[in-house]
Amino acid sequence: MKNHVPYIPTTEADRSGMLAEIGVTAIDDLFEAIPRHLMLKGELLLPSPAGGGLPLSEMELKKYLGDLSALNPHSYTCFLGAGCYNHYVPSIVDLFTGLPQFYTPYTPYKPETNQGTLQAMYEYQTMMCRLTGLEVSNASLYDGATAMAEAAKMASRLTGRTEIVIPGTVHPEYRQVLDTYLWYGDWQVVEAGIRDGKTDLKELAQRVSDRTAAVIVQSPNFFGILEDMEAVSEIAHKNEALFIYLVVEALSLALIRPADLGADIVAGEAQSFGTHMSFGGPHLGFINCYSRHKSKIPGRIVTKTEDIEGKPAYMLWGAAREQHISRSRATSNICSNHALNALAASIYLSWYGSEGLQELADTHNLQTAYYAYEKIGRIPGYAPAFPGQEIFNEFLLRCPYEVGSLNRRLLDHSIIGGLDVGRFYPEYERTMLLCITEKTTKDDIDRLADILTYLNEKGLS
Amino acid sequence: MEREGVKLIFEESKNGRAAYTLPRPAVQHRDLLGKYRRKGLDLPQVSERQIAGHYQNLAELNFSPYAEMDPLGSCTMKYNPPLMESLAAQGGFRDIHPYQDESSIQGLLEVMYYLDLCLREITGMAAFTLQPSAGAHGESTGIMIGGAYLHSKGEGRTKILAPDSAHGTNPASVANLGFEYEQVDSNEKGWVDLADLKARMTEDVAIFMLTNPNTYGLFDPHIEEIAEIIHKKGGLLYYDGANLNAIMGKCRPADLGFDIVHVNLHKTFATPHAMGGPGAGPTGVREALKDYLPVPLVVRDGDRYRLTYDLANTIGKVKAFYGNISVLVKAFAYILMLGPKGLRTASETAVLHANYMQEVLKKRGFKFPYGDQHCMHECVMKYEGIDTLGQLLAERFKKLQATIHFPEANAYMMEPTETETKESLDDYIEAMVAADKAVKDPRAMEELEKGKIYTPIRKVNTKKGMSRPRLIEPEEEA
Repeated sequence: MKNHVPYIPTTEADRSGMLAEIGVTAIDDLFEAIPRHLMLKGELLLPSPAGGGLPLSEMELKKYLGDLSALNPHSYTCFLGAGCYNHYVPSIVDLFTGLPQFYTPYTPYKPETNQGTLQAMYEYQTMMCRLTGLEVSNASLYDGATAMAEAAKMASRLTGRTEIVIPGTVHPEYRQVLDTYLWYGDWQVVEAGIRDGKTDLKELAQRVSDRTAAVIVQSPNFFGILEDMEAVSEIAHKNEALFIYLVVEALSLALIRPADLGADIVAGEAQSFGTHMSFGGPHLGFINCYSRHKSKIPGRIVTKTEDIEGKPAYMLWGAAREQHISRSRATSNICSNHALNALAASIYLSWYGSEGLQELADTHNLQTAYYAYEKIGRIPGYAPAFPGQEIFNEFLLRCPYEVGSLNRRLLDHSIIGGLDVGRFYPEYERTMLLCITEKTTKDDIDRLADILTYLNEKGLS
Repeated sequence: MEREGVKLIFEESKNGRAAYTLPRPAVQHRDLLGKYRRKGLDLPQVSERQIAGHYQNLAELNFSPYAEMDPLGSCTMKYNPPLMESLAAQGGFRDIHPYQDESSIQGLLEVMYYLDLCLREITGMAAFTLQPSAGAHGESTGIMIGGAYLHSKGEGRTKILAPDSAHGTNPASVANLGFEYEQVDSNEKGWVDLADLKARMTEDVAIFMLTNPNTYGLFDPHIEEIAEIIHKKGGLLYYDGANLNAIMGKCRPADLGFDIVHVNLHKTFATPHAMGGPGAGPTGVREALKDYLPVPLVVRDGDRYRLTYDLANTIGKVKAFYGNISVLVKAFAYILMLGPKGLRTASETAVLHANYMQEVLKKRGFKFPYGDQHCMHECVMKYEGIDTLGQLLAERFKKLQATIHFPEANAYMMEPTETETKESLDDYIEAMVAADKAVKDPRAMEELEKGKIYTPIRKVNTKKGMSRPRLIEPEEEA
């Protein structure tokens, strides 16, 4: 490349013309406010990982990043879940999230030029509320973990209380994020224990008091088990605390409706709805609540209204909750969110529809997961860690080996094994959290079973 | 597009229609989930053809920054190269799981490792976390790092300061973490009022958050004195990187005296804003604060990359997993594409374009309260009746409105960015001149109102929308 810089259209003639218009002679005259001695001497010393120096042309960039992408196997059979789910993304989702009219615009502050975004978000809110059974949905947060932390603060604001009670069955990374978010202020996180892979309800009841702002329980929980959410709801409500129903595997909503089980707030992660795993981000955080709590919900919300001629129109609602209006009194600092992932979710949910989503969740996740649960659980040395508990599409499996070594052997067979849960729970050493989705078919499960049996005969080394 | 509106997807729904396909069942179906199983579920039942039509029609209701210059101030709406989208969408970045074995993610770890190095060099900081998902998320992260650092030295500082011109996220981040927020005045030049800062900078203050150039588009020339005031009292100086696009390769936040910085990859590094996000707000710190970064970080041992959790004083985690990976890939590719000279030229051109707009608009009679100074990458005009002007620009001239009523009432903050041509700047200026004429001259307005309307709706009835919210579409009675 000779003189031009990619994406910059300003020619030498433009440049000198504009400088003359401004009445200066050199670009650096425009930077006069920066003390001279603080200005950078020479060029930035950027690393040149592709070798050969910068800048790279489009072709070189494609080669370099193509090579890097090729280093990461991505078509293996993947039995990992634990907060990031390997669901199939229909082609139409990527096509429409890839339209420049959706991926380039800013937040729809000016409704008249952003009706497409606003209507899509209104439809997204409606679909989420139909899934959870609640009345208000924000139009996305960063991810499930931050949504949960935001929901905790929301509950604290609503109740005027400061304690958050949360059991060890909630995703460990989510609990870490909660601890980080609540580290400084006047909040306390109170932990409750685990019993047979579920929240220890007796202990939970002891922990909840008139200081409790919210009880947060995840279902299906981190071990894939369905919690007794009605009992949790009763414990929370007896103490006039709010019940935050945490959903990390959103596909479970196709079969279970949190409003039926006493949820006051549903918070969580909807990556399962049309967002690629992407090594854990960007995903799709959400909070749903009842209308009576809407003034304290964080994030953007779209309302349907009309224009001055009475035609249907959409706009952002409740800016008084938001940082750009209320500053230090805002319900959250959130500004940029994950609207494109919310769009993906709407397209995804429209594609599956009511019937398709339930068939996907039931036949291709729940039923197949039970098949795997029994098939793998029967292999000598392997067994479900919490037999008899109800699951959705994940379960904890006891293994005869250290899970890391086992997984490395599975990689040799182009299989990505389940999560080594011992990394978060030392007491569950040699257990693997196995996740079954529509992308891990009966054949894949049979193959995994064969390999595990083979390794039993042959040994790991 | 005629102004008819697009039906809701729910209104397209009919029993018996569907778009999905799924494999045949392979395992025996059992009766599971008895007592938990929900009764109904009311999602749209539509064909794939209808979905395509619906979203195509919705897309066309948006003014796209590809079609029109978007001078939204402080948002850096520069061109988003499609190349970066295709690079980030490669299977080896998009279809991998966060808990995969490190041996199977070496390519991605290299991207993260080198992006960190690039951001260090651009800002002068010692290390970055790539975890924060947005600018405001970076602010929270930075405040927690700074707070934890001071706390560990036994200092219970409770207050955080920012100027009145700060982005709303600054005070919101402070208050939402439980710190006390205090506002520092700006002076008549648009800079930090040093006397006010000195008076407020007590030993209770942990951090002073500053955007430089600030939201008036001005570089505060007293940055060294500011840093000295803060550091002398043992506080930390935080750089809100929202306006970093003005200074790449010209000066570096660390050299200016900042201790913590977040950068908005979706502004400065050309990743798309995506109707609000996802973006990414990597946050960098000086050497002394390195140990407080969230975990994990990517490190290199010989020719292998790995994630390390070995940080003695880490604040923990600010999101699940590691960051908004696709955004990181795009920003990294952009940096390599421009290189050191290109990044500097980008900043220089952004500043040139903003000054050109300010200068020409001044000559055409518009008022710039700080227009006696050269601006940086954005300029702030004051205009009585800015709502009408903005509406006319959109409705009658097919222009995207700049940031209005910020950093003060009646302000119009324009950031043309380096990727627009001089012709599109001129075109926008001419539209402003014509709209201004209509605001001031009823006959010109009458003439304009005879012409074409470019927006799919007229002005929204915001009063009604605010007071009578309808936040979801009610389900149809079965």
